[in-house]
Amino acid sequence: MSGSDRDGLLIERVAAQDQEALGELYDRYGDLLHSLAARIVGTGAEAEEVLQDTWLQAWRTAPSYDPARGAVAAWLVTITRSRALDRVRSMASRRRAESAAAVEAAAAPPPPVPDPATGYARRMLRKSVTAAVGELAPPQRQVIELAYLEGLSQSEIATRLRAPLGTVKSWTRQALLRLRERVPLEELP
Amino acid sequence: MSRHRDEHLALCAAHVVGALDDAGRVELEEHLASGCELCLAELRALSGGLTVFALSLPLQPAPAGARARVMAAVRAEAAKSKAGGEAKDVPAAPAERAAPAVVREEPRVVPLPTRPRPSFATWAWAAAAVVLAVAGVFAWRHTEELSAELERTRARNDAIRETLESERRWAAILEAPGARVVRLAPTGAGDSALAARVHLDPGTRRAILVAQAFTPGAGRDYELWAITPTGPASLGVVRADAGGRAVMRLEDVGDPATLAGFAVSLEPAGGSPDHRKPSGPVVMFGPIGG
Repeated sequence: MSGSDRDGLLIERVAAQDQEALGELYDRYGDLLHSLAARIVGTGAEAEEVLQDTWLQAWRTAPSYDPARGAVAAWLVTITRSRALDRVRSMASRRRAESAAAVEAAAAPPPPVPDPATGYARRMLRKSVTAAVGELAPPQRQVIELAYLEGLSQSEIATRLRAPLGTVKSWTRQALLRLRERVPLEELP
Repeated sequence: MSRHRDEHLALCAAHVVGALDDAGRVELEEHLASGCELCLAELRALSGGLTVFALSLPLQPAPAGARARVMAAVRAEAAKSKAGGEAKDVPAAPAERAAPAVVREEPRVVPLPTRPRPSFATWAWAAAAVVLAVAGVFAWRHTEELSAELERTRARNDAIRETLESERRWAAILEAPGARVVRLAPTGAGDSALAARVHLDPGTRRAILVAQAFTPGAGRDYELWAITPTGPASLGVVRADAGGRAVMRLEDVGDPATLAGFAVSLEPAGGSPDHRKPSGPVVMFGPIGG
């Protein structure tokens, strides 16, 4: 059974209120989602709160997940990004009162590592995704980073990069399709 | 039926990266509702590309207790919605029957049948019912509190067990066969009091950074980098305590066979905007094998 099939079955079980299935999805994607949250809100307590918001939302909205629109991983990543940007917006007003939480988080130990085979497969995957992103033309990479990690609209990105709006739209699409082509992700370990 | 146009593909891309405005969102949703297979396939491909991008971000493993805390929150959520569902099943109290009707018309005297007085037995049954109801509520609340406490205790135990196992694995790095210590020295571009070393286990590619005097000042952060054959790769921002001491655990520092060393740069708060390149001065460097 492929990773995507397994995810599909797990999300069906989550939709049927199976907590164990949610735990299995967490084991597969917890670190990925935390990394994304940390990249957007910074490491520390805020990132963990984003992680918790994400899984709670996944729990509540699993019945509305539509496999026709994308894989479970992409669905989870999208939820995380939205919750992280929400938190960045709410943090803006109470910025920089976070040192205590950050220190505490830095002292927190990381979670158990996966078994060696999975760990190896993930390292290989990480290597190939890093290479794929590295091969993107700089503006293509920038449009993804600005939209996805900073929450800018395409018009704002066009202004920031001094590029026509149509070009920004085309860069966005080309970049995502290129990444998909380079790393098909049929077998996410 | 909304006919497919090429512009819909650009809307799909903007949607996947979350950059679609409200008008575009409405247009795309209407179009997708018509079942356009082209756009659905496009969405699947683009969201796959986005997952690749997310996977390329520097790995920041979730803290050890996070799983237990997430699962405890989900359990609480499930219990809450279950309780809510059960409450909804209980028929609403017939309040309107209990409330007397307000009659504002001129009173007309209509003889009502005399209501029989409740007997002693009726009062006794009513009193017993009240006592039972009150006792039931107290018992239910007590059970709820015990269940919640049990859940919290389980979550704490899970967290402690995970922490312990994790600590053991990390402690093993220091004694692993072939483990190496990479000492980082100040480059002169920053504070000369900076001190740091990386304990690296080439077998697992995990490492621990131990740092001292890491006090970057307000609005700035120190960021750790692995120097790889293709250039620097961010290993994350170093969070130190008030005394400038930091211990940072690194899940995967890259291929030890090709790693040239580690470096620390001084960055704006949150780290370099580009995780493949420091934006500030490199203040420490330690070559592997040096």
